[in-house]
Amino acid sequence: MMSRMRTLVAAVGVTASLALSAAHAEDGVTDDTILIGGYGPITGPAAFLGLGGRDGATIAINEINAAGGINGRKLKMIFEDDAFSPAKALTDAKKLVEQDKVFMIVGLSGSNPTIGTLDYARDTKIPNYIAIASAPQVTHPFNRYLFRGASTESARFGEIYAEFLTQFLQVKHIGVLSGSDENAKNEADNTERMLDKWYGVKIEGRAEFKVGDKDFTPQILKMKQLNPDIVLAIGQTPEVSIIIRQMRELGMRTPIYGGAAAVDQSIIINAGLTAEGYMGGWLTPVYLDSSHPDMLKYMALFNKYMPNAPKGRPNLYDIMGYTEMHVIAEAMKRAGPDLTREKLVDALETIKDYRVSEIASPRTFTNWHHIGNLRQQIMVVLAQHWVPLKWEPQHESEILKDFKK
Amino acid sequence: MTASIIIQLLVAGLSTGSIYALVALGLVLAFKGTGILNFAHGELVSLGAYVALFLTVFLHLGYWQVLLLSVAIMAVVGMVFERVLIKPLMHAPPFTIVVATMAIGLMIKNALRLSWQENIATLPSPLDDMSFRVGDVDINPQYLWIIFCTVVITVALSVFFRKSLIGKALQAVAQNTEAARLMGIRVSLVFPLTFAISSMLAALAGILYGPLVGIQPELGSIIMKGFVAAILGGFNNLFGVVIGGLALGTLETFGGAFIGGTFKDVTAFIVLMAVLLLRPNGLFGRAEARRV
Repeated sequence: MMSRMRTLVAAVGVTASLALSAAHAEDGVTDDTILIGGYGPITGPAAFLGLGGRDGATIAINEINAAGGINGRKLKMIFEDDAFSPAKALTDAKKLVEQDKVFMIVGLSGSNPTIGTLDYARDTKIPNYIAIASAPQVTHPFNRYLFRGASTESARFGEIYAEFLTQFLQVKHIGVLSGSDENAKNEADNTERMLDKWYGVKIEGRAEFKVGDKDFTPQILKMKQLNPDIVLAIGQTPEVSIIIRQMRELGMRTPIYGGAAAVDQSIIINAGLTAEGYMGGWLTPVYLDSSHPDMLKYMALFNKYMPNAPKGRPNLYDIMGYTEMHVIAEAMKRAGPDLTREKLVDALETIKDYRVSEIASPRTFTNWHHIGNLRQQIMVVLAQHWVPLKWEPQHESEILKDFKK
Repeated sequence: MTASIIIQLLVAGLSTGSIYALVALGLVLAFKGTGILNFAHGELVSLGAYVALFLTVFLHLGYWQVLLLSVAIMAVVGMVFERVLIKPLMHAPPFTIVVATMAIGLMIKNALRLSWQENIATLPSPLDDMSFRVGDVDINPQYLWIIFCTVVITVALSVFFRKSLIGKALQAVAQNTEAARLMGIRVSLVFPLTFAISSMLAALAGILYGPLVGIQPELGSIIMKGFVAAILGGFNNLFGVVIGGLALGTLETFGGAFIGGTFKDVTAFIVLMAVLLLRPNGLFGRAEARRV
């Protein structure tokens, strides 16, 4: 009888402890694996972005796993193609959460698709670490589960561009040629706003284009009529590289400054000599062809895992995917072996001035803002190479002030 | 808007329109010759550009060698395309053929994507960096070269169809396959020949367009503009198709200048709808009379 009682008590105890552990268990976390969901465009005109992001994150995962993983668990990522569509990105996010049961999501896409996932991310309370999209909706209003890493706030781009153009280049007459997609529109709007707000400069005029456009003659002729000191060409690399060439072909010698998404080797490959003197903002402290030891180390790692990478890779998004996966891994380590989503968010909020190496600018999150990066390096094409300009913004940013209010 | 700007817009519009015309010519030629609407034609444009890129990058051939060799290779590709993929479907319902050609297009696009990924590649042209100025108008010679090629191709095709025996055979098959067969024309040879010419035009479009916009797997999306050009000009009139392409390119460019860059496509499609309301068979097309 006693023996039966003991068996019964033991069975109840085991069942209770199993039930208890099931209640605490998070989707996507097992004894030996942490499952992460990722999305981004790997087909269509913006595929250079998602392919880079995906491969960069995958290299980081391989590196982390080879070093023993995180608190005894290996990282695994399921990646979905959003084809740069907000609807597809939302479907991807739902599939990753509801079907694949991932622990968290890494957004490796542009602003348009990312915005499509945000309401769902807020509702599900699953940590979403957005690596690339700069749309203000990612961090405004503040949400505990939404973080932005490598890229910075679109409004911050506006501050940096406005200061660089008026204080460093000393230009007053500015023409704006911008894409009609969310990312380019936000950057152009914010630059226009900050030029006026901080320096009292009103732009001469603005013309827009679409992602996928190939001929920009009408827009360039409008710029030509405005006769600005500089043209701010904000869009993705494929379009901006054609704009640079067509501007020169149409006899426009005006300097061109590009946005955050148009500093890339593809600009030099596609625009050739016409790219000389073109400037733009780069989101990491050192460029890909730098001889900085950390960049050389990264390139060796890239070549090891991607020996047959096509020309033009790695690109900015490879680095972003790589560095941000390391930020996430660092937070997971800090969250401890009993990993939960709430603990991950708490741990991410302890990240202060963290960077995997000097190929990334420092990341900082707090419990009142989740904008990890406020820095940008201005680059210029000289002798068919991207060269960093020794210039740092001096004007205090208003971005975080807005959050403190 | 000054006269120089109008001329500048006109040159850009005619050049873009010339590419649309070449794409539309290839589409219409295959349709007239075989009755098949080839939705993979856009990907043949991409394939032609990538063949040229391969010859340039890996074999280091010069522009003119690349141009001739790529067009020749694409002629063979066109014939193989017809023999292996189109011929078995010849008697399938039209919708099946449409879906099949779409699937073939996707296969080509994804094969290109696997080997080259999405990166933009450039095809060097001897006309690169040779822009010149006439009065207040800056001209990119590549634009003039594209317009020139389109004019030459249109004239050559016209002479080919009117004067040569093979051209007449192609026309006969296009008008009535059975009657042509009864007249001793070897229809089985005419079909691959039609696809060979269509693919050559696709390759030429890709090679001419590549230096302007860069080469990437999405280059084939130009097929939509080719369709619009063909419908605008009249699907059964080769001359009309060329006019349709030129008109579309010019409308887009002027629409972009007057209404706004983001409304370029809208302008062109509104004009297309207006033309179709007034002339359902396009500007130069004719309704085909059938005895019932």
